[in-house]
Amino acid sequence: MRSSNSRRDVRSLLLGGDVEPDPRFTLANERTFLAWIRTALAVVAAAVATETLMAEQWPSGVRQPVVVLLLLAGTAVSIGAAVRWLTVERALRRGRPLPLSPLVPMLALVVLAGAGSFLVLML
Amino acid sequence: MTPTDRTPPRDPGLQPERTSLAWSRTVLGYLVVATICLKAAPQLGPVGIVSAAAYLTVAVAIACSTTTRYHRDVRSMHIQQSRPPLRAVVALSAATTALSAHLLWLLID
Repeated sequence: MRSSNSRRDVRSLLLGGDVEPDPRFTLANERTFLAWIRTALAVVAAAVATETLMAEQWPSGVRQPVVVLLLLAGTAVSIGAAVRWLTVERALRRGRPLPLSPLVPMLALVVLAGAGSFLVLML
Repeated sequence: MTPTDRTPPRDPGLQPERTSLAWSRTVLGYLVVATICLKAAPQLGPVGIVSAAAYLTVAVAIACSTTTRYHRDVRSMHIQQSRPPLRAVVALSAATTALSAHLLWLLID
């Protein structure tokens, strides 16, 4: 009993709010989290593919920055996904407006930089 | 014939089903990354195989819980009360972060 109580304490501390939101919103938030996780996986896959498939075409001096950028982005997105899920869940349970996601512009910049460097290296 | 308050919600959006599919797509994502890591094992060394095994483990763990999760979500639609999957979210995010950071550390090293 004690452990289930303390677990509930952790939950209420992290999620807050007494209002149970509509289950549809909780499920939508869950799907959005999974979409971010899949995005992180895609970025990591791109990094590993670049590292191995371009091993001979691109010298490591130019390949490594691209791979490091992609892996940093993959790490940041997978952390950000959980933070985002938590902030949205808290907003739902407190009846507050949903916050903006800093992940969106971050990812856009990374994808732009990655695509740009691919383009430059290909030409 | 207006629905009364006691009528169970119809859920025209098929939310539990879509959520279940999102989990399944995520499993496929982990399988793709596991395959790429395995393919890259000659260049990455043993870490490629270890990473592939880790991604595969995550995929299997999610796949095993999908049916239970789906039934729980359907039930939560009926009783109009959800339980946010806090543990699943934290675990999945931590695993993905750790694997990504590990590859990064390996490459910088």
